[in-house]
Amino acid sequence: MRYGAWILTLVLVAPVWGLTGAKVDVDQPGLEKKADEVVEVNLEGKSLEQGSRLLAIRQGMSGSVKSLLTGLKGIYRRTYRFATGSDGYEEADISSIHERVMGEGWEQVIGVQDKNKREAVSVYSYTEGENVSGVFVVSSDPSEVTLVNIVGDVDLQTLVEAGESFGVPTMQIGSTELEKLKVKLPTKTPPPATQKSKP
Amino acid sequence: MKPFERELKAVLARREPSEDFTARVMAAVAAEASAEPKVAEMPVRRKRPVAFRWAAVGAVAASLTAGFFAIRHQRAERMAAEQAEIQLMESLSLAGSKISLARDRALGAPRGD
Repeated sequence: MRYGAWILTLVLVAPVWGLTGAKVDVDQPGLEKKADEVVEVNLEGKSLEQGSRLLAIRQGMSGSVKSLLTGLKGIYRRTYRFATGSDGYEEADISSIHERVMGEGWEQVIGVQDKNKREAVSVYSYTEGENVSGVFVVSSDPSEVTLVNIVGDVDLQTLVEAGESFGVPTMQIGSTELEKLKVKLPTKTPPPATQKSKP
Repeated sequence: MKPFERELKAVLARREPSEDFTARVMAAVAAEASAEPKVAEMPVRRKRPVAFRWAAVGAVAASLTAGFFAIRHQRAERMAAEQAEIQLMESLSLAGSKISLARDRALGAPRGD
């Protein structure tokens, strides 16, 4: 009887447990308090399945993007927007996110920072065995902080291709000059790199 | 006159009615008038019980209500799916563009400004 209870508990907890590794708590109460606008997206389970199916039907996507959609287990996004002239956020709000993620077994794949403009983008990946089971993107500029956590079998190159194939203009997504710098990606996947540009 | 003609004349000869003939005819007419008129047989419409009628009304109302809620549920599901699609598309585009941007910057791609 006692074993039965343990087994039942494991069965009930297992699906949630499977998510915890690659799932990041994207809620940042400190940023939320200071932000003028918060965009919140939580897609998992049925909503993710429905959205993926509809997207695949309407967009008529290539095989790689379809495989990306089928491998998704969850997408969690928070965008904190700060009005011009407001106090905004502090560097400590962002650095605490990086510290926490690094402590949870995530590996930084790319990190770029422009200290002059207070703009930075970091991309983290979470691997289980040899497979990437999660991606976490932290992007910040004076007017906006965006956190995107994608849980599932994710390939970075496919993710970039998917973003391009959806045809959502980059300028609509971002709000800073960093977006203007976007150039065509090289066809070959570059090795992971970290670079910090100094003034 | 032939025998056949004689017989025919005898048969067709005028005869006076019996004395009670008029009385019998009048009695028959009186009896006919006093009898109830015959009604043509009509198909009988049986009355259904009231409970049966209410049950039918209830069934129709229930099916209409169920249909209404089914359509509403379907519409809500479709709206939720469309919303999820937009959110998914935006989030993947956002993540993709940020990764692309970070990679370009990391590789030292030329700046556009």
